[in-house]
Amino acid sequence: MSPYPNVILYEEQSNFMQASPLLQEFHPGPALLILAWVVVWGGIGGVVTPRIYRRRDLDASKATLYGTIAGAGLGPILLIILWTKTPELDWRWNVIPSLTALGLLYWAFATYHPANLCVTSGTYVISQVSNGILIGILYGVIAIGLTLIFSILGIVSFAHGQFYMLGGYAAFFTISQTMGAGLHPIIGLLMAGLITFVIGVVFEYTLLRPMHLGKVERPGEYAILLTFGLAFFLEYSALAILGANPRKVDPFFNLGNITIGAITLPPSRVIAAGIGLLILVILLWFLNYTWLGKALRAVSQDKQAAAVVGINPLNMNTLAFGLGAMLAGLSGAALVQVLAWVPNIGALASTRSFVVIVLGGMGSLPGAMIGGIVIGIVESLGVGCFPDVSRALAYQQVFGMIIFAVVLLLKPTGLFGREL
Amino acid sequence: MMRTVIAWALGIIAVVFLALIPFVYDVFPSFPPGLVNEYTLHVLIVGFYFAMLASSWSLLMGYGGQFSFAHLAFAGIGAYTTGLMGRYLGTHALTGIIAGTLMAGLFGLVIGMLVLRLRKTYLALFTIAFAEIFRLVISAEKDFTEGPNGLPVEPLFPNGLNIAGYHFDKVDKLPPYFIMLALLLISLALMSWLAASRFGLFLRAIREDEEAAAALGVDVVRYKVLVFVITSMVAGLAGAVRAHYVTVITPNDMIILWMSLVITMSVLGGIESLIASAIGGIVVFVLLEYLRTNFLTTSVMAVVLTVILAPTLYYLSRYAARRWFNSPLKGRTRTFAIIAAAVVALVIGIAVREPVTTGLSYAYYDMTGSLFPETIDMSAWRLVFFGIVLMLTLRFYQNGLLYPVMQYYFRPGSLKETVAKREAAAAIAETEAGS
Repeated sequence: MSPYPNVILYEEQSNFMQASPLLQEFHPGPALLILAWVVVWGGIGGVVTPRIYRRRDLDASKATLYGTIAGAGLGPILLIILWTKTPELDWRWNVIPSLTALGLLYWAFATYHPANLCVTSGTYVISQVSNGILIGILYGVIAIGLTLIFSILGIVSFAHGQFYMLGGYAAFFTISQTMGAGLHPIIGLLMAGLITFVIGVVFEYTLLRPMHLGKVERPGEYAILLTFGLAFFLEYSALAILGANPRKVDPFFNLGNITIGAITLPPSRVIAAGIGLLILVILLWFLNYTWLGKALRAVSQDKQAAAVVGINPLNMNTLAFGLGAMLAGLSGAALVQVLAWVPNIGALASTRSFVVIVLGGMGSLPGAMIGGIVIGIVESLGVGCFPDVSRALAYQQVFGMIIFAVVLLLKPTGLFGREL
Repeated sequence: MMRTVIAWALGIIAVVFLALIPFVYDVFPSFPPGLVNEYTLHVLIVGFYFAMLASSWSLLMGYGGQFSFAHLAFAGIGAYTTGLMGRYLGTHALTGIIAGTLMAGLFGLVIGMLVLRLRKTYLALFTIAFAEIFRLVISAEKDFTEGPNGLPVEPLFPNGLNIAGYHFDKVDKLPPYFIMLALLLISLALMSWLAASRFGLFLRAIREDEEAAAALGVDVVRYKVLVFVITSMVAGLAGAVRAHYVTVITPNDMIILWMSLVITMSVLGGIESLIASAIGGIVVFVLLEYLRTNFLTTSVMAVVLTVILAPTLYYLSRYAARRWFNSPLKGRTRTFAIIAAAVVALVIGIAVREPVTTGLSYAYYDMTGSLFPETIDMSAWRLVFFGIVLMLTLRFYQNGLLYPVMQYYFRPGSLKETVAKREAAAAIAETEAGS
């Protein structure tokens, strides 16, 4: 019933896949046993530990997280120590069990498919990781836009991925020689930023501002539903006007293949990551050294105090939404040379940036960047190290989602989030 | 009260009408095509499915304030449970439907317990993640679920059905039509009863202020989980029955688009009323199907011109009234101005549709080198239309389009009561602040 099939980054991955000699023999049994061991003990640790802490009238706020990690990493051994001694939990209790948990996962993976390149070839793993970092920088930039919106307006924009999609299309129709105006890529980037900024500002001014003026009942739900409606509207407008054909442009600059040591980096990704870093530097300069940027940060810290010193929080809301949309649009413009661009690419980007901001901590800029890179690595390792290609491409997003669900349940503040 | 009688009569007539439609089709097999035929019945059946989803979502969201984007995933759980059981265990459709409903309830229980701690935004994010995981896993496990190719499911009555000496074939639309209609009415009745009972009261209390409700003795945990379970069971039931009706299910039935449409249905009808959202579901789905056909570019142009011109004319007349007659538009004059603007815009739109389309198509040809299409494919534009309608409804009619009308008829005087109560509360607050 879908109007068009999901297009995933298939072309990007296939050249790696051809290089991997897949053995036909699988031994899923032991791997699944190890996984089950990790999951079951993690679950037991997560459920029982906080109860024991609460029963002994101790601080149980960290017990769920620490219990889960202890159970997953060292199984009953550490759990029994935790349960009998109930020590005060600080970060040191996390180091060894998290390392062993990662080791167990790697062991499961290695027994699942002993001839996989990810187990046998270190070079392959490093090249997947570096690819993941490159694309993860862009994920980080998209998520920074979302986290900026969250820290100023206090809402999550469900239309964020659609701004990313629009930015890509704006760049495509500016740059492309055959379909578009055939202008220089830099103009394409600027156009993408401008268009998404204007749409974001207009949307915030007309539809979200009434919420902050108190003209709307139940504002939290209003914001979620409204941005969801915007996503719906933007995605299908793009489909109706621009069509479902995949679009792609050549790499912005002709760099040739970039080889560092034993690994080769695709130039389009290197360019995209470079653009991402440039955007990041400009954003940091803007936030730290300009009046508007300082005003934005002031509003994110304390709305009333900012208003007292003469900053209009309503205008800052509009600016933040526009900026967030622009960051998404710019990343879209940078990635249109890497991925095949279709109108529903935004839905994927949306969910991915939710994963990133929840992992990094809602409202934290460094958290969003680091979360983006982590998700980039996990996705590219997940797809590169999975023996069955088509299944791996489908599960690529599932890995991120699982991290997301686990983080939401165990530590909703994320890695760098402010305490709720 | 006269108004209430009219309202009840209209409601009963609507249900009787829905119950009688198929007989028209059955008695006159050669009825003029396009009026009542197999396709109409099909649209209505799927419309009932969406009505069930929309009304249960409004119980979850409008009453309980629990944000869930996983409603389609629960319907999918019901559908895939019965589909997979029928395929691998060879169970009967009825067993499968019951199992699917229970399975959806079980998932609702687990998810409801997991997300207890999460507040609105986080809950929305978590449910969207769950829905996506479920859909992706179903499409990835091709060997087991057939993935995007679709899992074939047995029809509701594989051997046909004999009632009162009349034989219905397994592809006949009448039995599924009545089953869907009956399920919709039963689930609506059950959920309305729940919403009107203490359960509904507690839910609304939790929605307004969780801490306050807990302080007053409401078992927050129990009711939050319970509402998740009940609504996901309704969704699972709808999904399972629909699976047996369309006889093939794919992961694409669960993409975000359908969730957006369920939200649209619920919001357009009225998010705080189960019956309004159900009617919204049927109406929106029928509209969706109706708008699917291709339209002539010229007629679309007429509509677009009207929509652009009408507000322009109205604002112009408002400006003119203020500028030259020195009086703002209000009351009857305002109504007149709105109607006149709409009519004049429509006339102008129809009059100039041909030359405007021709001019645009020349410009289009100059720019792209290809011809302007004579008909417009509406399959994506109708969704754009509903996106705009959803946003505007949320902004300007938060109670939905249908619910205020229903309230006007079913609860005459409630508006006055509310206003009186609000004023009394404001007066009390003022005296307290003064003292």
